[in-house]
Amino acid sequence: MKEKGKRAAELAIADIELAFQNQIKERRAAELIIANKELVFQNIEKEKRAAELSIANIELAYQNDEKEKRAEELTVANKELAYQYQVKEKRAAELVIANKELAFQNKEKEKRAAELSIANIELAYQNDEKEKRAAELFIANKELVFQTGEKEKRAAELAVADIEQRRNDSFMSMASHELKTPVTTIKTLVQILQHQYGRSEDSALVEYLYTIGQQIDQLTKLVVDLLDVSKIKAEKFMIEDKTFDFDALARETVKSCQLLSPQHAISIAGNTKAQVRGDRDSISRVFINLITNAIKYSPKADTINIVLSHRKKTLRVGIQDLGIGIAKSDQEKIFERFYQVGNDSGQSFAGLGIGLYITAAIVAQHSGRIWVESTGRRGSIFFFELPIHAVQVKDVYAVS
Amino acid sequence: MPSPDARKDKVLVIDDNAGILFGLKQALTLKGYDVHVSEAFDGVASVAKIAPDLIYLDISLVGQDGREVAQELKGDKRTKRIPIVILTAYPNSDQLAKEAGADDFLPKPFELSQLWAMTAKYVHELRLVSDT
Repeated sequence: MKEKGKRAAELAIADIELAFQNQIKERRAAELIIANKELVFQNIEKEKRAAELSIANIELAYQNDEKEKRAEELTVANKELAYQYQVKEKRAAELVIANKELAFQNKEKEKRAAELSIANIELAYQNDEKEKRAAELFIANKELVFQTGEKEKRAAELAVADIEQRRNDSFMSMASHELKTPVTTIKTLVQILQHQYGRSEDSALVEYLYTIGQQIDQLTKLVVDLLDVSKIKAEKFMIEDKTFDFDALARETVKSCQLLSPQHAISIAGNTKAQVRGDRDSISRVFINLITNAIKYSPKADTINIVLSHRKKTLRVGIQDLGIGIAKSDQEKIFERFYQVGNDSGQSFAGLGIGLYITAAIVAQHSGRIWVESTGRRGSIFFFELPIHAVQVKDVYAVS
Repeated sequence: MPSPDARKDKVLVIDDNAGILFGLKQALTLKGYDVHVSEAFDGVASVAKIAPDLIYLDISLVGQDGREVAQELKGDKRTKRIPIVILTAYPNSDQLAKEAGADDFLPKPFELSQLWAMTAKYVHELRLVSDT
């Protein structure tokens, strides 16, 4: 029994121990539960915190990014500022220079202002002058307007004159034609009378008939000339286009003129050795007109000199009289139609003033030219030139 | 003096101007021609009846063109052999005469000697010459 009691005592002690231990364990378990709960709570807290940290982390990362970005921006801004600073310094330096320049310019401007002031006075003066000139121009303009009006009036008058001229030409053509009929009749009858009674013993009758005959011849010439003028104006001057020996024509014509005017000695010298192309009769008429004129305007002289000469392409004829001469002012006009030279001695010469007009027209139609040279009262020389068509083979008319 | 049986050469002058007709009649009669004058062309038949040896014809007759008259005369067998001389106061007589088919032309105003020479050129037989 002792062992059992011991044992039981031991068991009891062990039991108590166990119960204690149990209690401890239960307490411990409770504590563990609490601890566990605490741990769970703590765990939840930790997770919560972890989540918060995670967010915070993201936030920080973002903020970091932002900061880096900002830092970069600041770097750029810094550089920009540095650059701007440099620019400003440069600009400041420039401004200093510019300032100096301005100061200089200012001085210049002052100088210029002074000059301008003078120039202004000058301009004011010029302005006055211009106004004066403008006023003058205004007057001149009015004058021009007036003159323009006059010119238009004159042009209109000329147009009317032209129509009148044409009317005149056709009138002359008609008049000449109409005049020819009575002239023909009178001429025929006078010539019959001259034929019948020209050698009558009644000297008075002979003289009457001679004078009537002479006058009727003059009238005939005027009538024919008038028609020629209208022909020239209408450009209907018939020109035969043939080649002829000029020197032969010249001497032939001079010879016949000499027969008609025995009171003047007509000399002819030189030669042209030329063949001329054109109307032989017309050229002969040029000679006759110029010789007749020379005779007519040198009533107190007794010689007419004709000189023929030639150059490579043109021939020239000079017909000289020792008559009254032609004033410088008349020398070009005498070839105009109906132009009559006024004579201060009151001497008058019959004619219509168309002989030289016709002569010049014929020369012009043969591509030649005609002019006169005259010095005062020592007579005149009429020249005309014609183109040479061909040169004569033989010198038929050597100077005799 | 003309012999009574001698046949004189006949010249017909057609011109509308009485003065010209008178002048030509006198001038040609003086040379012994038998001169007939007319102020107008009365047709080929009347000319054929006169049977002239030469005709002087004015180019501008009243209401008639001398060129047409000449052509008519030259176109008829009764009158085509008669020489025609155109009388004209126009400057281009030669051209007008050619156009008319005439034999010759005499521009007005003419010299008496020209008229006589022209007549003699076409009428050779001057049986009666009264040159003084």
